[in-house]
Amino acid sequence: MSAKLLARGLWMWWLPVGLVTFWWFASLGTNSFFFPPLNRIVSVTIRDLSSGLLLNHLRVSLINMLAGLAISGVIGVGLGLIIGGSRALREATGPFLNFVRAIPPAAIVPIIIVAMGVGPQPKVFLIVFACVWPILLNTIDGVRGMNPQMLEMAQAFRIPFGLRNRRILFMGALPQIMAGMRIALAVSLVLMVISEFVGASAGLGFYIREKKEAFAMAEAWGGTLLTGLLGYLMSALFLRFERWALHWHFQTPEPGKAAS
Amino acid sequence: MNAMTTIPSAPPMQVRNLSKSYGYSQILKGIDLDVRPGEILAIVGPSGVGKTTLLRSLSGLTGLTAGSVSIGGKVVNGPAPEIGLVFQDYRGSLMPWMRTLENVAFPLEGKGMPKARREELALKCLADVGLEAAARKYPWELSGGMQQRVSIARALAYDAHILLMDEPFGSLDAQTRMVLEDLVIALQRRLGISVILVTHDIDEAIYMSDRVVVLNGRPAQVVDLVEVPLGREREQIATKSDPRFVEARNRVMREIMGG
Repeated sequence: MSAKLLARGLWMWWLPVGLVTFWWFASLGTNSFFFPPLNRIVSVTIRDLSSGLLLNHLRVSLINMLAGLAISGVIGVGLGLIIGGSRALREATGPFLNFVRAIPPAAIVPIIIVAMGVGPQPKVFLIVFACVWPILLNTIDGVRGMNPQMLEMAQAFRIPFGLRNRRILFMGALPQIMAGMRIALAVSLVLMVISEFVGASAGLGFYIREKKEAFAMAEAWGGTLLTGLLGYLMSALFLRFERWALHWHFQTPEPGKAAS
Repeated sequence: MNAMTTIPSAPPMQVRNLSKSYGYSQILKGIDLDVRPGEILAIVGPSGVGKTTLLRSLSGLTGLTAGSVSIGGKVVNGPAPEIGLVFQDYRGSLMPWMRTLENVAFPLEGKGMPKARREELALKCLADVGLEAAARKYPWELSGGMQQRVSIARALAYDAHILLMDEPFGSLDAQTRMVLEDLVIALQRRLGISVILVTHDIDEAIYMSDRVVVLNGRPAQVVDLVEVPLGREREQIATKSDPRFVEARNRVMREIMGG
């Protein structure tokens, strides 16, 4: 590995590695009930992972989360493009959207569980209910923020509605849409866990609650940390995806080619 | 430059009694114009008089308060397929997420043309403006002058017979401006299109055009229509030293500055 890469790695990772190491050694041998030593948290988590138990919960949660995100994306972007592209629609839906988006999703969890029962549907619904807002509102803003000359160009060249939405509005709003998706990603993680606290039989949230109720604190902590790790990995992956999809926005020319 | 011109492919355009108001404020009043097939017509006037408003009305982007615009004898009520628009700010109208070739081919995509054929046509139009090597590049990888040429290529690809240009060279440096002026003249000579050019640069207006429309007043009206007696061959140095050039230029300047 080159020295430069190593140096960069050290620069990025010294703090988190340092904190974890500190935690490890500071908590070694503690007898605290609610804050078990890190080495124990790690060992029980690895145990449950290798037995397949946690992997199964992880799979269930992940499927719900991704399904929720996908549906939110389709609805949010689809509606956002249409609303954003029409001044009349923007003004008509503005107050309504701002009202509904202010409802905290966590507050409606019990109602939804009662209304929709147990199983994946209420969980996915909750995720969609929470995640559609950042995507929808960011899409609308993204379209509004577009250079009006771009839209006039579409008008002057008589570009049909569907093509205009797909290749102009969607692409022009994409940087803003991506920002909304980043928020939605974080929100979906939270809702995924919360929705599994009530009326669930599988999933990371269920695992955490179950372990907590059995007073298996190390396992509960392990589940929590694993959730955080999952969130981090998904964010990192999304960031790379965003950089690829928005390369034209960041305008990095391919190395070796200069503007002439 | 070859003085022979192609038989004009462009239909004539007629503007009758065109008026445009925004609310209570009248910008244009009773504009009458005949755009001859294959001519380059410049529209000049003091800053803010309404040149851009007129061009937007001709292009169909803005509705008319009164009067009519006809192309080839048919009244038009919105953007017409014969018209290709070239904006002043190329950065605003070229799409940065598409490569140059895709940008030029986009109006054809809008017409429903299949991919292979439209890319072939787009490449030809890029070659017309001397940029076939830039086909795979992104617009932001090109210089300002090149981007404006891409804009022109796009209007040509759309099969526009009447090019409407709103201060197309305003954002460019003087030398690039001269190169592009000659390019547009050459395109007109070769393709037989009509060009309506809005510009604040009087030298440019007279150098490029066959006739110059002078707008002035509030609301703006046509105060003069100058026939440019410089023939069909234009050259940056020779033409601009011609005494008839100076005469026409002075005449137009007096009308704009005199108010």
